Amino acid sequence: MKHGASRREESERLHARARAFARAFEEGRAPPEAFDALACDLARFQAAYVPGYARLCSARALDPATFRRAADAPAVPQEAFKLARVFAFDDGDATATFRTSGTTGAARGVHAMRTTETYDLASVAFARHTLTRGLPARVPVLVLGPAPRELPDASLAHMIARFVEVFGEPASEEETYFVTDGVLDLEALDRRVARLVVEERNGVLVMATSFALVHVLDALGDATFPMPRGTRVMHTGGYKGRSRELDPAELRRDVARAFGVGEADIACEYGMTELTSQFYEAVLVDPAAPHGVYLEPPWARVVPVDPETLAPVAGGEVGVARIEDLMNVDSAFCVLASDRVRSAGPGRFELLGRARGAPPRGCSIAIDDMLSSGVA
Amino acid sequence: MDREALGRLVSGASRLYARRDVWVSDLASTTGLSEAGVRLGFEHLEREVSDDDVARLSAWALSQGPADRVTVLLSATVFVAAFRALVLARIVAPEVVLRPSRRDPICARALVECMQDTSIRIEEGLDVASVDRGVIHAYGTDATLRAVEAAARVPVLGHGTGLGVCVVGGDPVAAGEAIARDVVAFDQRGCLSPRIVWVDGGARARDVAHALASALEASPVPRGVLSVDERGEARRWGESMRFAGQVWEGPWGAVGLTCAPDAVLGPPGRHVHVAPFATTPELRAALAPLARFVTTIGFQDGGLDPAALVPHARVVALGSMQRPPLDGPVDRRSAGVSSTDPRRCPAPTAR
Repeated sequence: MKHGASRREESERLHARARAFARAFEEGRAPPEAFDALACDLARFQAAYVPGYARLCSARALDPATFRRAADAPAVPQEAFKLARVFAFDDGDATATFRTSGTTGAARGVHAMRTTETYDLASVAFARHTLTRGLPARVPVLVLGPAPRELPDASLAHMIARFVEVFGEPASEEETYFVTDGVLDLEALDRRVARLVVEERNGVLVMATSFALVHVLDALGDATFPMPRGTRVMHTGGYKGRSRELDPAELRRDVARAFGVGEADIACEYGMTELTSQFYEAVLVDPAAPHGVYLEPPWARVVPVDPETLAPVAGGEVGVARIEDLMNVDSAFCVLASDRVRSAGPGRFELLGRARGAPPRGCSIAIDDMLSSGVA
Repeated sequence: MDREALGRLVSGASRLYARRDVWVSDLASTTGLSEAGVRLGFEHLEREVSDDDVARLSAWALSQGPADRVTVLLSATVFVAAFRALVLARIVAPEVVLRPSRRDPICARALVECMQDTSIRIEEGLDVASVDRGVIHAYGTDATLRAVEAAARVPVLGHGTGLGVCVVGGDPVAAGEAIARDVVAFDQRGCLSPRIVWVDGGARARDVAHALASALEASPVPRGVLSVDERGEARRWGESMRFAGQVWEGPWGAVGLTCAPDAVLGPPGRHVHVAPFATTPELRAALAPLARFVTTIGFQDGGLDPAALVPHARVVALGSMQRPPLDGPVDRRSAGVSSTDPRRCPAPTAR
């Protein structure tokens, strides 16, 4: 294990290389270097400074110095973020600490960041290419969620706050965030939307968790809540017992009806606390793409792997998501998620939902039942 | 139900036990246990009833109130649990209808045959919605229980899935060996089976983990077959344990050791997470999110009151977790389904 000032310098160099991917993408240039080159250097850095990752490598008799491809490096299961520190810097150097959800008292995964600059740059760059593509540079943004000060440890709140800053027209917090202390303020949302409609605004960005949309639908009943023309709706996250669950097609159909928008203007974002990058449904840039197919930015890949061997599955087969994220510089560049995915061609994957886990052959509780209850 | 009637049911269990060889092979294929594992499971079938048991069963029956019929739906239980389910049904009602598990109906059918009690009958493929009187005793996952409650026209007493945990504060070798006995029984597939072991002190935790792994490896009862999904879950859990600490693993199962009290559940099939705790509040905090699933605490020494950790859980000595007295349901939790206020929109901590 190496220590000292060189670690920070090494991290800075790797961040610079990662950001170069995002900048090149924004400027329409080719990636500045091979994905595998940076991936292998990240794996070497993380094996040097994250003891758990060093253990994962040594358990498989892997020498990170010999890595030539991203696929050579082992993935860190999401659950590891709940059990151990997954960051390559001293505790006091964290500038942001994001935590996964969980019921009160449940172990929560922790993703600490020494800097959020890389996160902000990459998330805005890819959102501009996908989420806000075709919208005016700045639009009214409506967030069906709380202001970030209510959730300082939620990466989603951080990301949404950045998007409000970058893509949003100037507006007060009350006109932007419509959940306070856990309560959705539909009247305030109604007032803001009514003004936008009267002003005949064209282009509005709505960002919400999937369960917040269900709460809106439940509150509306059969009523509708027409949004201004050109409204785009992004939703994300699972339900985890926070509302009734709707399958994605049903949610999309009901939101489209309630808000008076086309289904192609409702898209899902796929992200997680343990990652720095996000993925968006391809329908945002390709109206012919089916919902459920997601785009990868050039700095992140989703590889379906066999859950037992962790080796990539054959093309077109379903596996669990091994996510290689070059923006995860100081933590784990490769994360083993618990979602089922299938390749949908270069740069695309189909998200098939969380692996349901083994059905019980007895009355011992299944991992999946525990997860469904919010105890992660 | 009088002592004599209960005695007939217990005699039925004894007859089943005496003829157990007939079913071992079939049960091994339906349960996933090894044949030795099935035989060990039969050793956990209650074949005696004490006066204390009768008194406690009567008290439980009184708490339930009488019913003219109990319909028993068995979905997910260990195979010998069918016996207790039938006793609990018969003790509150003169008529019992049993719908065995589709996947694992063998023991339930054999028990009914051996009990020779004309008030108990089997109805395969029974439609829950068709039950128009009495009560339903349902055994299964939360999802199954929700479905039964949604479809039922009569009251439902649900028995969900759960888990056992251990709290160790004494001799690590004795603890490891005793916990292994509780893990091996039913390959950890019972709601009493220990899945997580909290140990007072990091050094002792290491010793317990090592002793447990050695005992599991030396067990004369081979582990049964893991499903494809379970093997995937085991691999993922093992990688998490390896990242966070240490893993002992082999064809016998796996023991993971981490250095903080937070626990991550592995799949059933002999996967045990051993974690240390330093103080009772720390243990309480680690247990809190799991508490509503915990049916049993296996306990050894330590300066704390284990009964206060999870009030509804049984507290028993290590090595005895799979042998609760015949005093009512093994799981003392009450089932319930949460409701959601549509106006209340919880904070988006999805990530």
